[in-house]
Amino acid sequence: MAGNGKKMDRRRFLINLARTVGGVSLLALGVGIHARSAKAVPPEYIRPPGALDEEKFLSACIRCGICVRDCPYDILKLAELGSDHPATGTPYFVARTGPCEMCEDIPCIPNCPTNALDHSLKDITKARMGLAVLIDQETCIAFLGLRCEVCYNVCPLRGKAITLEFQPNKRSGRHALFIPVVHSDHCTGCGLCEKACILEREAIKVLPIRLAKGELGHHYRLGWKEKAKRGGSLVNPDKPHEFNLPEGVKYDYETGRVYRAEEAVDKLGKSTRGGKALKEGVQGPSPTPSEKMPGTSNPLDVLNRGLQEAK
Amino acid sequence: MGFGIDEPAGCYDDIEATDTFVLWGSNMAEMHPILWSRVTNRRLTHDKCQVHVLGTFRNRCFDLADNGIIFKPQTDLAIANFIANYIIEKGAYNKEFVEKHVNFNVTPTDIGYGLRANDPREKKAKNRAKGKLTKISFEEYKKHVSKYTADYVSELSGVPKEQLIKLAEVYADPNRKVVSFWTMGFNQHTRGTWVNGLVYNIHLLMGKISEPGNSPFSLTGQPSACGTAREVGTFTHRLPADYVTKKDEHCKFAEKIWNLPPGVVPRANGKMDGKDQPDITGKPLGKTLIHAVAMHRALHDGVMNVFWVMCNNNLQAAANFNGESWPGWRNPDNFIIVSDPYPTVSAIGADLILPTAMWTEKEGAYGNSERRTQFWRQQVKAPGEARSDLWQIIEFSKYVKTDDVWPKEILDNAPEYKGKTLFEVLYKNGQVDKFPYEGKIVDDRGNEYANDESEYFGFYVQKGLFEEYRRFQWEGKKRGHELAPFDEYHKVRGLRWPVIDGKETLWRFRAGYDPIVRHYKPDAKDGEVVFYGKPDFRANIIFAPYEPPAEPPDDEYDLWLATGRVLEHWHSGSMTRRVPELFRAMPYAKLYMNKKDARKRRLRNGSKVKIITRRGEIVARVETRGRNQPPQGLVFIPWFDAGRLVNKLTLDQTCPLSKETDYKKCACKVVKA
Repeated sequence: MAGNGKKMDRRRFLINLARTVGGVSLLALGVGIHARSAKAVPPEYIRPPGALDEEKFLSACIRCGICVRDCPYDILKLAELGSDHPATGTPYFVARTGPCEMCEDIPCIPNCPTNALDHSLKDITKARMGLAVLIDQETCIAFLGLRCEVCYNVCPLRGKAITLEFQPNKRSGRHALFIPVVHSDHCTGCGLCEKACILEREAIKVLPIRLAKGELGHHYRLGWKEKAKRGGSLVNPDKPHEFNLPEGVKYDYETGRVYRAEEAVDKLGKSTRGGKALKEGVQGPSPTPSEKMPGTSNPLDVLNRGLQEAK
Repeated sequence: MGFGIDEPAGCYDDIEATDTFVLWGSNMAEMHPILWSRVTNRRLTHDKCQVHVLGTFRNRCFDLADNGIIFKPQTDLAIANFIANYIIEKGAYNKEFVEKHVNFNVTPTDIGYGLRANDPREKKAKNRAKGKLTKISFEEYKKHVSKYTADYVSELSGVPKEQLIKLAEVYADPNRKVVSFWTMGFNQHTRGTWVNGLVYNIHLLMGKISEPGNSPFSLTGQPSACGTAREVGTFTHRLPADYVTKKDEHCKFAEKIWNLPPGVVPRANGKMDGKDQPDITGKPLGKTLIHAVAMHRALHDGVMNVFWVMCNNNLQAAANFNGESWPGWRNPDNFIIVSDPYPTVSAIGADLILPTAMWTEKEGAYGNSERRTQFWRQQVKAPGEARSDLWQIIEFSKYVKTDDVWPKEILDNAPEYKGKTLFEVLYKNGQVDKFPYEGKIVDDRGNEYANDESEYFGFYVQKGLFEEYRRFQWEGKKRGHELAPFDEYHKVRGLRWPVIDGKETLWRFRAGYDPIVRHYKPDAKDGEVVFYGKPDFRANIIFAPYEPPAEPPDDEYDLWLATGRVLEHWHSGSMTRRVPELFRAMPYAKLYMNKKDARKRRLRNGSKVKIITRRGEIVARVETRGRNQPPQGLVFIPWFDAGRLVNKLTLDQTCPLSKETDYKKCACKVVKA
């Protein structure tokens, strides 16, 4: 029974603790000393959803174990006494073996007597238990060119917390790479990705946010975000540009594309129906397929090539 | 039906040559992961490239889609006809191609759903299982498709008009190359034969076929139905290399190659030279050849009593477990033998289990969907007493004598076969045992391999069988399936047939690319298209209408149930669920459901539910945020999980023509468990 298992955990913890400190009367004192000496649990220990900042959490948590009891998936544990586990008696889980299943009703929080697990957290997707980091790009098989995407597929916020970035695989020349990318504005640190990682030791790991995140200098402004915020350019509007071009050839300043006048170009800078892009290969039943890598970054190359073909 | 000859005209190289991918009922992103990687690369590196994805629910392919289309189940028939109508209305069709290379036809309609004859839906069907085509003119065809306007089809399918037109445009643009890929959304379809034909129609109207980058392609796979079943003739109605048991002449040809007396191969209609073929008791044989779905029905009815299933988890796969397969398998009158490496559901349901070697434990070959034939050597020895499927069949033949199975009449006419075992007749016959086995197999580079079958039987079994099989392609009237000699395949990584003078064929039916064209039409000019599977060298455009599905949702069973696969598991998961990494990544089948549908039923992500159909129920957990995102009104569940048999739910409906089960459409309800 799941319920029994939880009780056992707590009981064992209490017994161990009692044995170690030598008596019930010393228990409170012992834990107090430990709490003060403890700065944090080891990095692979992840706090339950809604946990306050580590320092505040350690002083608020009274080690009652109620959250452990309330976890329906039995993934929460209490840190045992010992030099490896300084924050003795506090709740944690280890993503690789038992990640947070992200229950919609967050049952571990409401019965927390001291608000060490913040009662104001009502939406589990707002939890920030840690941050998943694809830490080893040398062993992650997605970077090696294999189809895996298991972390992406199991992510409860798939498409937001983890997205896939498609890149051409230059090594093989005809395949794509499907690279998982974690986004800290959505990742809750539940650890389901770390658990599912198919490697012998996981390439994606949930880390405490303080270890995982950098901090950008506070004077930086991201132009595109400021622009979006303002709803338009922050500098004076650009004047329409004009260019020296051969007859019948147009140049799109936004995309840097050169094309024939009759060809339409859609928003993505891709040529659409009806046009013959200058860079097109041979049409029809020719055995030569059209070019593998389209275009070059220099519009002039494309321009010149087009003119040669036209002759 | 369309080409008079099996398998696709194109190949995988079309991926790097095309401008457009259209996926019709194919979750290629998960089921063909490497090819999808190539499609993605093409989309990323070829500026003009577009990806159109059609499905009844949002799957992983939609991540790459320029035009992701969700349609109501079965309306793919209407969408394909809309495209043909659009092309004709715009005058965009390739007139020259249509005039020279195409015949127009119409199929019988109201053909039923391949259910049992006493099903009310079958009784109602006017032309049950009929498929004989009637020739029509282009004008008549035009009239047939004219009903499928954008307005009508948009209404029927639930797809916005703009999306339909965007899709039709890519086919109608003469300067845009198109590859259409389809998988089980099309082939497992009560109108599978029709809908396949409807997409061929579009390609034929535009002449977008048989050239690099233009290819209608049934994407089956590596050890695929086309290569490893149809091509070699493992179906009851087929003989090797496109010959069929329906034709007396084909059976005679097979008997000649196999060194058998005439009349031994059971004809589909039980008649040779217009006369009844006798069975062992001398009575007319009658129609005996039945398809896989009918076999389970025959077991259920006790009409067929022995069933030997090899390396196939049919009891987990075949639809209507409770109604047909389970009672059939456990019918005390029947004896069921399962040859499998794993304790699958089928093995558990069997009366006798034969431990079986796996693919790397034997020498063997695959044919895959781009016509590529691939060989491999035995890599390891099978554990314990496991023997390969081939060994089991050949060894079994030693215990059967001609007198036990052949009618007296045949033996009287060919007394030299009397008293012989089938082993002597079929294998130890101077033909299959022609190639000696020297105790080991050594390749060009000096690597040594074992070959357990050859070791046991004393001759190079695989080589003998393959060389005999190859004669079907070189000595018969039907040309176009030619394979290279046995040893050649062990030196290369697969060859795409027809292989003539050691050269592969990438694109068929076009002179210059396909050497067989000039076998049929010696004066064909380079680039000329010749559909040589048909006597007049013309492919068939076949009009077929939209017809409703067999079991749409109603008030009680209010949801569509679609089933399928996931990236992590191969079919029934016998092997892949035993791989720890894969099991960890996808341990159990979940029910993918729309959030709103879940909320309506007071369910949420992770809720345990019962999925109930008219045939059975199973329990699974709901997934509302997974990789598959069904629209409201449809749920999807993969069938790999032996712990929850999805085939208790599915309906044993088939395409009445292809006889392939439709696993994608039946009605279900979902309640809290």
